[in-house]
Amino acid sequence: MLEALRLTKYYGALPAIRDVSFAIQPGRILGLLGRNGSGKSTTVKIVTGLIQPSGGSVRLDGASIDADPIAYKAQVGYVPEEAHLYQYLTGPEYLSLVGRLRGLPAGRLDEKIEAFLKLWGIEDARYAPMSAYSKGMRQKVLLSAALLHDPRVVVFDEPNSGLDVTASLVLRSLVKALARESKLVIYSSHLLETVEAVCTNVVILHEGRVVAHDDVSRLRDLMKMPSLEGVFRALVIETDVDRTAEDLVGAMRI
Amino acid sequence: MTAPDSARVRSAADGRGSLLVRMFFSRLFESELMPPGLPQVRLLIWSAALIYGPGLFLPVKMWGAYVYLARWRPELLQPTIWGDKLQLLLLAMVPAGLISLVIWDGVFPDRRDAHIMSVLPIANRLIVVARLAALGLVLGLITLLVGVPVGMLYGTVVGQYQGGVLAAVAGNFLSAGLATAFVFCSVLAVQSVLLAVARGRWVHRLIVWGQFTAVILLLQMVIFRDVMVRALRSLLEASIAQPGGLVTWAPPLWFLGFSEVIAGSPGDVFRLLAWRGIWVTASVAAVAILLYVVTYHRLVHRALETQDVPLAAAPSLIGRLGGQLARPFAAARPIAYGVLAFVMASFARSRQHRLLYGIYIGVGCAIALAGLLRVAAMGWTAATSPTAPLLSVSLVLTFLAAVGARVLFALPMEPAANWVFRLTERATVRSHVAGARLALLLIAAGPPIALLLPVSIALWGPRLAAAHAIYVLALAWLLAESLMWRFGRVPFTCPYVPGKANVRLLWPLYLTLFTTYAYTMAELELWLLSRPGMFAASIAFIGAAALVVSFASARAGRADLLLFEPEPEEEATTLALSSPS
Repeated sequence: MLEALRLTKYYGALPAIRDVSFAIQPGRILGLLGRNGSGKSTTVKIVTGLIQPSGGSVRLDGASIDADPIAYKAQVGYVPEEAHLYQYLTGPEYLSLVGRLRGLPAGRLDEKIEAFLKLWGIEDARYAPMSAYSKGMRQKVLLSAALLHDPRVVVFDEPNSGLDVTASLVLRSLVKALARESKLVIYSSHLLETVEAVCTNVVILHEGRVVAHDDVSRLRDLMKMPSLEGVFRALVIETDVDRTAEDLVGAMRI
Repeated sequence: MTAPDSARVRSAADGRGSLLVRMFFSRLFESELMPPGLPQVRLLIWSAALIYGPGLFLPVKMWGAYVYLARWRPELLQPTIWGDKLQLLLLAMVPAGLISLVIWDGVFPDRRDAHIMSVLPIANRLIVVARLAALGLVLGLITLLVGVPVGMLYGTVVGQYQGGVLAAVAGNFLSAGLATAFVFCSVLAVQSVLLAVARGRWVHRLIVWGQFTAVILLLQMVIFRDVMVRALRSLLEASIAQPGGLVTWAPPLWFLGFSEVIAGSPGDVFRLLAWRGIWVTASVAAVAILLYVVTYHRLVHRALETQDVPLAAAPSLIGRLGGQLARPFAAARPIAYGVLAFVMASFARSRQHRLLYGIYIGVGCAIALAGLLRVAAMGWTAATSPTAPLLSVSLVLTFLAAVGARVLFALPMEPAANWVFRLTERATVRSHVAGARLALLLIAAGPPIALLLPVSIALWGPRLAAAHAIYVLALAWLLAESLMWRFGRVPFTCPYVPGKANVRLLWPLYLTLFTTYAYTMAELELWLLSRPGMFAASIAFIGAAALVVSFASARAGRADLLLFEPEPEEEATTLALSSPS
């Protein structure tokens, strides 16, 4: 089980998240929802071990990940929100770098890379630098890099970015398949329908705090809402979205 | 549209024009090698001043010489002034060439520029004019930088002997301006042609290697300027005695002629050279502008309608060969191999890193060439057996290549992408550093050995050539271990922090290290080559020393985990003021 216990993070004097707690069981998919600046990315970075919390801890099977961060990172696969890549490398070179840094044996690594490229349909671009790739192709490389080492914890941060419809549907099925493999999956996204369709549990963050954490269907029942979008609107959205849209049109006309 | 409306639109367009010029000017110096916030123009000025530095001191030296010659050897005064002017002109042309190579990437729009600018309601004509104005601004800065201080200083000195101070100052400033404009516009014209016709990865790679070679050649111009000045002066004197010949084909002489005409020197040769200088520079500038406009439109069109790099590109032969050769190493040490492959690929594909590396190699080539000229003076038969100057060539190149590579390891490439190293860290700093060290060794010793081994086999036979290669490799290993002392990071993944080498204070130490490595070790090698037993023992000793340094470095390393941030200052430097305890 993966637990986040009262995670708090300050950037200077500014609090990014405060007392964020949640837990996830193997085979479950936890959705992270929130507006921009709500603390989703900070939470994800702490859970992946990329940054240290100012307070609180992350525990895997009861043991703090700080006890052996290296061993923990070896079990994590991460798809970041922004595709910061070494774009002068080709896709296979990048995957090879990641695989070798994770200590995968050469022969198995080559097989895996070949399989990922083929399954994502980007094998024709194997000799081109990633600077020539479309955003979706780069995202496919990132998704492959996150899964190369068969991780136990998989963290997706806005994984749909740039993917076409087919690839998005594949991704949706992939996330469910990973859960069936008893992986611990965290899925952070702005896409409410996708989160609703994919995740078993959801954490809604607002201004750095958890405002809801429950099973998706139970949350809908509790809030008496027909969809997750309704729950999200009720808990997080303080502005009248239609009014804001009208105001934007007005601003355009100034 | 009413008159006030059209005036408002015109004024807005004027504002946009200056905004675009400022933006394109900044883009010319945009680089991820530089830490954010560093004033790029100031850096440019300092870099050019460093290259042009000798030009600032020469007038003082020349003043003494002119006083002496005017009194005791008046017949030598004029030729000496020509030589000195040529020297200053060569020194002015080099920064212009180097800066135009450094800003190469920002001169034309890339795909990002094309996509951003093309959707804006701005006429292409305005964009092109703004880009050309930004380039003109750079040229103006270079001209001011190389023309004003030396022009005034040297004009004051030489004006007493030639046409008065005012004419001499004007002559020197304008001739330097003409020379820099010629170089700058020539590079721009060549770049325009190459980019307009270049398609495919190989052509682009050739262009990058061409730039690398150009940097090396420009540095040779600084180091061998005395030789060049002597040759040019002889050409000029021959032409004065007997009109005609090659004199009109040497650009520095055109600008010398221009300076002489303004200073009022008599002679048809100078008028001919001055007109040639003006005419050619004006033509090159016009052609450069024309080619720029054509290439600009072509590149924007290409960026919008095609892929920058074809996805179905062919694999590189060298890459495939390297991959095959390294397969056993990759299987045995995957992390070290991963870092090695990353460093080699990064180094090979970053144009800016390669250009900076070219500066080190350029200096190395010049120093090595100076040694070879000594051998040539003895006759080329002297090269058929190993001598210290010949043996030092590989050591000079290896030393400068290693130091250059180590310096460049600290300059980041896509620093935001280093999260992948953070995430995949496995408490294997030694493996990461081993990969980086091997990369340094390959970059430093690989090219000199690969290039010079066939030559040394041809000159000295396979046995001595192999012994020399082993000696160079062993010393390069020790050097690589020393340069990677407490490295603890992956090259190119940390933000750049300048100024750790403390060159201003420690240059005597660095110079001693260089001379010991390049020349004392060459003398030692010469002595060892005739004593095989001692040679083998020495190689074993150097290898053992490298292992000791490696072991000590690993023990002295500051962290068990990789470093991704600049190391904190030593307490002695910061007085521990930031420490809470």
